[in-house]
Amino acid sequence: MAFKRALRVALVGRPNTGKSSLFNRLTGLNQKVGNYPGVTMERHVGLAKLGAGVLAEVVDLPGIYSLHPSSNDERVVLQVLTTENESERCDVVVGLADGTNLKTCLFVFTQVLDMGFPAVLAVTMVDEMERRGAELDVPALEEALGVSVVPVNSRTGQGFDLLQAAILTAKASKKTPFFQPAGSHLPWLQKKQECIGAGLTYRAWLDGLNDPDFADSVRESGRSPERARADEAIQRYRWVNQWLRKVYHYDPVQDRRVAARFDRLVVHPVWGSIMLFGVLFVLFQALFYGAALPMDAIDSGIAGLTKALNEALPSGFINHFLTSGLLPGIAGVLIFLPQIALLFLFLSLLEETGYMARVVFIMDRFMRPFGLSGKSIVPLVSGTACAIPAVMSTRNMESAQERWLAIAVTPLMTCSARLPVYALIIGLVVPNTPWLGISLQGLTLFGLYALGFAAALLGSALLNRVVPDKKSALFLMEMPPYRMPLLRNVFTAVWTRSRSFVVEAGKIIVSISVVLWFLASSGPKGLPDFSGDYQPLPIEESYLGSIGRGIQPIMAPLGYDWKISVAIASSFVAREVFVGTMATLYSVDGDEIAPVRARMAEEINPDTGKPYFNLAVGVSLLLFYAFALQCMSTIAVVVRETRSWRFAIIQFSAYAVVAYLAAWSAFRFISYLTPL
Amino acid sequence: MNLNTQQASRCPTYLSIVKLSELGVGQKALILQANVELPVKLFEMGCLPGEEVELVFAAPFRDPLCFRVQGTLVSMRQELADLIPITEPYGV
Repeated sequence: MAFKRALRVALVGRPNTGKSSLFNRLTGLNQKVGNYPGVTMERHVGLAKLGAGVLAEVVDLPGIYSLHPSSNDERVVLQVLTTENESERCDVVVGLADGTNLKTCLFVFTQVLDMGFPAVLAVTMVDEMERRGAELDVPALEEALGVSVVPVNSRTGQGFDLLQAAILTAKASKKTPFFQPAGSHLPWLQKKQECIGAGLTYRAWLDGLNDPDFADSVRESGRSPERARADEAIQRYRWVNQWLRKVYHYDPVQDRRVAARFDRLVVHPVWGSIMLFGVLFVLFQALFYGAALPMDAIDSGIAGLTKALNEALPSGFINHFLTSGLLPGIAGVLIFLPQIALLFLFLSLLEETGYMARVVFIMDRFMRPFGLSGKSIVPLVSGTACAIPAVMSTRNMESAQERWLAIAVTPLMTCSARLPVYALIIGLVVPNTPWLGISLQGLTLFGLYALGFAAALLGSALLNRVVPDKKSALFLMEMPPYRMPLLRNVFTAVWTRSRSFVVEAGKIIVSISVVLWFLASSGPKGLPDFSGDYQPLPIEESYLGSIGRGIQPIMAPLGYDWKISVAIASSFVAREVFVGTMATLYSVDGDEIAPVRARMAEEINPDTGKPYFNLAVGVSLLLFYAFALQCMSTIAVVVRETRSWRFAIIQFSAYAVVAYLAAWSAFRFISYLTPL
Repeated sequence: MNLNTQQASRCPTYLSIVKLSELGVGQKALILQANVELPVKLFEMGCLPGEEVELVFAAPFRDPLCFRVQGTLVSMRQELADLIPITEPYGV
């Protein structure tokens, strides 16, 4: 059967109306779904089969409270809906309305209808409606709105056949307008309307509010444009309230009482803090204890494979490439997958349940002195996974000041790419003995997370002082209801993010490992003999050796030898490359194939005759990696989000200076305290 | 959106009227018409004059505050709630 792309469908609705779940159900495309307002940041597109032979392109737009843009998210939605570009124009809009909270959802939907779009209203959360005894007279609401209304359940797929049919037959409402502009600006609107087409009063109105001429014409009637917008809100809510009274019956008093009691506990200064601290503490202990078993399995699995390959293949170029170049690189990616998956599991659970929004709420007061609002907690917490989505998540911030501050400091948060480096170094220099039943290694990791957080906050406060803001940000946010997390959504989030780590970061790590293996086994004095019995060059004569020696004088004050210098140089591409480089450096250097950590522990400092990786070198390295912005991908995203190379270059340089100074002082200080 | 707190101090009318920020947890009141310019987003989220509002819970230091209005929970900072006049509180 041949498909023809017949339609472009846009999903428009408030945050927390189950828009992403509906999108996933409709298109089958994997995508992150969360409970925090504005988690759908980018334009997500998927294909959906609607009935026989019709393929529709579905665009999942960010959640909005109104078509009038107050944030970048809302700007994106308005832009998509008003585009003149034929290849992007939407044919049908599916409005989303949470069935347990119809009132405010219908506000946005009437705006969409007034724009003249053929539309369908999907009422979500019907299972919750049923459970709570909410009753909606669907035909009566259809009559009032003038378009189809379809209750759907994204968990079970109930109602989706009706929704698909309704999209195919969607028509613009004849009941419009739900809002009638009035006042001295009408002549302006009529003129504007002549330019963009008849019957589009509301389009003209939306355009007009961004037009200084229009603002002047509104002021002639003695009102500000803001006041005129407020009047629109009042008119619309009046209409919605009047109709809902007739068609919708919902008495949520009991549910609300229970939820409110729970919320008071969650935001309580004592119980709430204990809960928040507990959640974080469990998270970090789980990252070390819970991930240990799969990590050991991967570790020994790769080691076994390497040993088997080494024995099975004749010694020579291929053998050396596989066992010293490729496999150590792959191991360097896979070994940290358990920790990354666990971290994303926790983060998406917190978002799905609605707890994340409470954290934003509690933290707001504490973030304010640093020039941030509670909303910055999302990029900062996401930054503990990866700075890239974190920097992107700043897009729904309304305050430009807060947004650039958040982008500037988010990469200081301990991201998952630092975990491999931290795990390697902590395992080397921190004893694996419990202290009062607490893992010292886990405690050190917790300390590094706290350090990243503190650095981000202090950095933001400092920047806010240096470049102060004239306007204060508006903190106005909807608190999502608590919801049972949809496990499919959580596992989708874990799966897609882990996969992207393996595929995207993994690609870089493995290829750099191979390049480094080449650089380490051949040198300026000549290539090794590829044809006969392959014999790699000694590391000292290799290209890598020359590079390492080249930058070593700069790194020497931090306590780094040429190998660490090489590893740091190569990890400017991405932090985790450090591990792969160390693996390559040592397995090329030595004869035996042992896990890199064990090999590093055996390294002796030729000056002292003691293990090279002592506490001073270890802490120096940890601090260097805590502060240095060694991630090409983050820099690229910052450039994209700020549209400024200058911003990224200044950020990178500032991070480098702080990293160098912190590592240098720590090395000097600890060396002074622990004389040889 | 810019929130001008100076505007509020220029309106002594409200000194005698209860402000939204003074609501106790669990208390309800009706929103009154403000004659300072409030952020439009507030209206668009449903906080309109004449609507019933309840303080459902508050963060430590009573800032920010989370209200129920039009059936949804809306959280805002004290500085904004200071600008919104309400009727005499009732309920708990």
